[in-house]
Amino acid sequence: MKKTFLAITALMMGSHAFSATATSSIPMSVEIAKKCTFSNVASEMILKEDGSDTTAGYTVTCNTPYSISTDNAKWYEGWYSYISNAQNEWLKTGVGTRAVRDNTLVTLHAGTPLARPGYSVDDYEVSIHVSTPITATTRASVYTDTYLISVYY
Amino acid sequence: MKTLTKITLVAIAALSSALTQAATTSASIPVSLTITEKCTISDVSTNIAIPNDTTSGTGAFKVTCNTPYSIRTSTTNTSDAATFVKSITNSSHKLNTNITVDLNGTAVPVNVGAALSQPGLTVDTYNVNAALVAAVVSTTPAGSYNDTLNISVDY
Repeated sequence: MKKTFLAITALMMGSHAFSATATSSIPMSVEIAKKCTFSNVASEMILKEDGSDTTAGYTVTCNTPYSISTDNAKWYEGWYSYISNAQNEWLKTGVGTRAVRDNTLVTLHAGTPLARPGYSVDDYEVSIHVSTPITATTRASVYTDTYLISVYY
Repeated sequence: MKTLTKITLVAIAALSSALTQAATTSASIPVSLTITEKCTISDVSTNIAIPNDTTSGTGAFKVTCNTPYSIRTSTTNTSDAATFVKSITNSSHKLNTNITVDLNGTAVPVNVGAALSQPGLTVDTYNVNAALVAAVVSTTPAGSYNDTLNISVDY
């Protein structure tokens, strides 16, 4: 009886001495690329002969901080924007863009782009008007320009 | 020196990474103004008094256009290119007239002839001269004689 008990005890001890645990791990990650998109961009801005403002808008959606600046395709030596016709006759324009959220003015033509915190859907409003008076002898014609928006992120 | 090289390489790598991540997206909106063609006739003389001799009574009007145009005139009383004033009480009483319209010496047709073309974009002042072909004589029936000059601008 004594011998049998000792043998079982020894067997149990031997079993404990050989046990082990194998471990491993698999890293998991997701990478969200920085992205900014435009939406609700006005298809056109039609100016008024009486010089009053025409307004239009667009939306910038970014998942990262960004900066924004605006420009016009037609500028006279950095002094003013203008529209022109097929005869290259110019009419000065006045342009301004504000962030609807906080009325901050967006950089126009030159200067440091306006920094924005991002992670949001930001609406912008453009106001543009003809500043050269339209008279009875201003040539009947179509005068054009292009308003440009750049978002850096 | 080795350390410096390493630092430089790290800096270049960091800069390269930053440049790789910078991005720009852009959009544009067309801007336009359409000025429609328009002409106006203004400062039109209310009346031209024709003297009884053969000197001219004068009048004027202005044409303002923002586009090229052509102009022609006509008189209400006309027959075979001749013009005349007519008594308002007896239409058989007529006095032939000589009517001319000009822009700085360039004649505008009255009743006949091709319309005068102009480039527009200015305020053009036209002069009107109206005179009797023959002076009134002692037997010319007394009365009030009149006619009307009509102005037409096409653009």
